[in-house]
Amino acid sequence: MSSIGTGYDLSSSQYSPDGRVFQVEYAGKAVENSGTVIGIRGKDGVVFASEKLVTTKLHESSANRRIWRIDTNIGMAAAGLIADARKLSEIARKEAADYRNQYGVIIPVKELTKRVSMYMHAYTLYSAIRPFGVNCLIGGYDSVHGAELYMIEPSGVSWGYFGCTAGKAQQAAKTEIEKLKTTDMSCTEIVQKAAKIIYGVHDAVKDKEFILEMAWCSEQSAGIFEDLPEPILKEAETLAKQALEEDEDAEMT
Amino acid sequence: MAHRYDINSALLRDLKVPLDGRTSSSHSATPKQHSQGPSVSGTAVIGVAFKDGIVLAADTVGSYGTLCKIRTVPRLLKVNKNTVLAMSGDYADFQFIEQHIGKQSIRDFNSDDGYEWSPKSLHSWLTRVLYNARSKIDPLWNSYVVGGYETETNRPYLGGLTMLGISYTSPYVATGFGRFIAQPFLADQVEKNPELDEKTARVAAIHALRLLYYRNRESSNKYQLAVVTKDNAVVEPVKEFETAWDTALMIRGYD
Repeated sequence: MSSIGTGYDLSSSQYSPDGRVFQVEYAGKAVENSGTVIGIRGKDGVVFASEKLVTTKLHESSANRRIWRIDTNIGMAAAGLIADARKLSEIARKEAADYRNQYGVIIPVKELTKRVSMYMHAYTLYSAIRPFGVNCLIGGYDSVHGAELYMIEPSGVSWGYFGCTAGKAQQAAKTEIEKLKTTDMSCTEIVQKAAKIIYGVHDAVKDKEFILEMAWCSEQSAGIFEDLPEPILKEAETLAKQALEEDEDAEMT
Repeated sequence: MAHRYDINSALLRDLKVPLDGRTSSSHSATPKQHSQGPSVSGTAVIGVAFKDGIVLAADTVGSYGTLCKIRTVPRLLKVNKNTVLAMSGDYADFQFIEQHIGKQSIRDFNSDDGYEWSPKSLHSWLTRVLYNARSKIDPLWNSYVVGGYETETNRPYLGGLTMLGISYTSPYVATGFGRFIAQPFLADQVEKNPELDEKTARVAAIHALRLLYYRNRESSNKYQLAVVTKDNAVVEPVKEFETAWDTALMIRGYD
């Protein structure tokens, strides 16, 4: 306790003398241990990609998903503690269903983000509970609002993004996304870029294997949030692997 | 609203359940209960199974008593690519059911495991809902026809369901007044030709509606069809069928 926290890190209901809430910052650390997740907003939809780390080959390949459907055209991706994230996906689904019940239309992504972030924020206020160790990406697409993408941090703070990322390789992936002109890109193009980024930032030495999980909600998916169709995912993966090999070859010479 | 003959309330009378105070004298022991009778309602619906699918038919009137309050209102609901539902009776109760079905459809979509409503599961669930409601002596005032394609058995599915929770499957179904007018006609059609094709089934369904239209002032010749074949359910746009009233001049004794 003689190190950074010095007694002020035991509860999220107390500030440190210089105005920090350590429990929230530690929750951020939990996110940094997780596989990388990215979300990119294009001109005709949003794309999510996740680097699902394989801890044992004894799991089925579909186990421990990091991308969930929330409503017909809204999805959520998360980096961090998977059980926390699942709880948040349940909350998001409930809020989406409640909104539909009350207003008879699908919840705007902005409103859903607001509700989920208020929920996460409430978990940073009390000593008896711990903040969510999750960065939560919420995205959707419809003809009225266009493509929308938000990310909520463990503190309950949320921002709208053109492209966002969380997890182990957050910094590297962020740099890659910044190189893209996302607002001019269609989801078909974004899918290939996103797959390349995940393959590019994966640390093959430390983490060995991973499964690329991708989903989108776009014109191409008829405005439905769904897993990337198998052929498109396979193609994106093949291209990503090729690009990776070419880079490695270039480094050799 | 004036009391009018209603098959469903006739059935309830047979059960000796004093539901709304109208069944006994005007000094009824039970208070009048406004929720226990239909308000805006739809008349008979028809279902016919054919070789590799089913067709449902309904006119588009929403009646308020004998007043034709809404001329074009959809009474066929597409649940998914294998399942459709046709309603007769109270429209608000149907909308309540419609919302429940919609919620479950989204839950099914979210879980993304490939499971969704099938005609059989919808029929079974609806039966429980209607039976529960009537057992609380607060029935949902609807009869339903559930139709579709059952992917597990790879066969068309057609079932009927009354407001009391009585459910059955049959190659031809009609609700309400249709049980007296349309069902004998459909029975005859199916008997003559057990392996109906889609075209014959459509023609039979429309003709059944026509037979009802001639005899029921609450119906109309504006109608909708829903056709379900394997992995394809279509609720068609509203159309009108032809009628011929020249024989009406020969009718005697009703004026």
